[in-house]
Amino acid sequence: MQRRWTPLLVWAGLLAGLTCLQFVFSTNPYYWATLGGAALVTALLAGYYLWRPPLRAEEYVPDSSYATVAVAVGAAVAVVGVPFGPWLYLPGLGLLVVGLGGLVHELRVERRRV
Amino acid sequence: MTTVALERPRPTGLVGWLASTDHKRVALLQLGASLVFFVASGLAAMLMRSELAEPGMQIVSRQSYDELFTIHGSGMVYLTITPLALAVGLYLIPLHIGAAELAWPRLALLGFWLYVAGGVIMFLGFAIDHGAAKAGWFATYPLSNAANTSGKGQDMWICGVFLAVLGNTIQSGSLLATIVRKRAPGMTMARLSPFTWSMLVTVLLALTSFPVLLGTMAALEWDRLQGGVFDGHYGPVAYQLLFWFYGHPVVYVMFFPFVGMAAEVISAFSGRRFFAYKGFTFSILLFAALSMSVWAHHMFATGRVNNEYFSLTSTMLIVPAGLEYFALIWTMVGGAIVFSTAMLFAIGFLLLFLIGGLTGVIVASPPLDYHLTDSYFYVAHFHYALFGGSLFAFFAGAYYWFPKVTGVLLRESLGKLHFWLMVIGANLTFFPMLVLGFEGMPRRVATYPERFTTLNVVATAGGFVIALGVLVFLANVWWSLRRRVPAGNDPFGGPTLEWWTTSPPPRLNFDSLPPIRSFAPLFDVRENRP
Repeated sequence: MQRRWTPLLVWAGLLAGLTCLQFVFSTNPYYWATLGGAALVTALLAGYYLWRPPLRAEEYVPDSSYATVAVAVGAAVAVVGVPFGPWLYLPGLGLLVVGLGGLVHELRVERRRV
Repeated sequence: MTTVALERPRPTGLVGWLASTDHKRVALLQLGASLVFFVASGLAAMLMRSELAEPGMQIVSRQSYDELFTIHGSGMVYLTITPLALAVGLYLIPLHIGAAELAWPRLALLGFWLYVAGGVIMFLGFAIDHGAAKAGWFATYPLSNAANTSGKGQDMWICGVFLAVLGNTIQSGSLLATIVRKRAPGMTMARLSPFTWSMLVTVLLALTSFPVLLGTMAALEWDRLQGGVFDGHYGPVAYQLLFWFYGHPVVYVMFFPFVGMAAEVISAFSGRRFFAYKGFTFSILLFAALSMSVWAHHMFATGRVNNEYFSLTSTMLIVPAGLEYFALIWTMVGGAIVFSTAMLFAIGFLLLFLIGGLTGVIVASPPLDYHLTDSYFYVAHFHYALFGGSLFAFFAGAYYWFPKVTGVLLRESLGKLHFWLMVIGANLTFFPMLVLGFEGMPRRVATYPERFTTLNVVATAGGFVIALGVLVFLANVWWSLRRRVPAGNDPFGGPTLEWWTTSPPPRLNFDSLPPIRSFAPLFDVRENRP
């Protein structure tokens, strides 16, 4: 389980190398901002895994999550409500908030059981 | 690490399935949804091919034709092949690495529902005034702005794409964390199966390119509502640069998992360890990184991109692609090959994707691209890559892993009929398009000059042969589930850990694990390797 960050760092290095190669040909900011940004994000992710504390000996997994479904449906209604107006995105946001509340409740219950 | 399920009754029935966080259930739901979208998008293609059977307008209006090709392309890219690839990963990755569950299983469920909602919203565009989106699967700007494409169908398309891709991105995060954090003792990175490596590069591609599309779709919607985002003189080019930063890597997101599936099938049915494992993993990493750096080759004809750089990186893709082909073919050489349906589809994948890949080399050259851009040559090129490539490998995987998922075997006789119908249908449909494109037939047109009629009739006939092949596959699944032939735990002598457990696997996947000493642990067990 050692060096979990290795593939991420390799990936970040490859993208960074290709970003450098771009500078030989062009300095268009769209090129390096997108590819260089991807390299930077991956490097940060590798750093996160590098410093992340070791895993717990036991990890509990949920069997179902109704709150997650509510979050997804709420987010979807809120997003599609943007072009249609508040009559659609406000109920979506409401459902999203209810779902997030349910999710917090589910996680608390799990933590108590652990 | 030990993983323990919560001690409470497992939810049953339809509602229990729909809210389940079990990676196998989420994967099967996503597989089912993507097949539904595949059939719906395929029906759009059949309507288009029927319209193109003769010059002139016979079946649909020009506006409907625009909606059909937009929804066909969008349905296949955003709602079928990408989610299909991730669904296979969601099912198999924990099994391949000896894990009991995904990391962050709620994210996989959240991603599934966002994707389904996105797909439903996109298709609901057909039910409203002005119809569904009609600016193509990449919503070319300024065609996709409010002035040129009025009506809410285009807005629903943008929201649908945003949600579906957001769902895919979230699932990719869950899969990456699973591969990085949840491997069984002994399962080092150098012992991951070829399929797991292919999924690892897939999710790396997704996590580094999909967020750019999310931002681009949000900006496009803002542009439609308020204006002022992409309407400057560089705006359309900026939109394309941002879109294709997603649009090209997604082609590989729709490809790598299927290469991994073909690799597992070829190894199992050749009875040999995968050849040049380390070379394969290096080449797939290099392949994926290069594929992040070729996106503006879609814009050669605009004259606003650096053709030298993007032509160079696009042509360089030949090197890792060649290494992969070499590894796949050399795995078969000297092996005891069994020509099962799964193996036939894997070989079909190699041959048909080769045509897709070689035509890709042609259009990586700007002078040739200027002649061929926006012609049917492109339609043929990416259909050979995605239909002949990805879907053939998917069917190889379907015949290989169906027994693990359901506990029963698919019928080989129907499978071989399915294979030959797909081979004949794919070539009848897509080869004439290569010629049509070279001779100048543009894509996205509802009619054409008389001289293109014969090849269009052949392509339409091929489309119906493909549809027949898909029906045979669905009939095979239905028949095999009704008249069950038990498969046992390991019907094909596969090399990877999923064949160690029961078919279908239990809730937490494994009661025990064999020693893991290589990327083919079950070959080690059978060969009694220390």
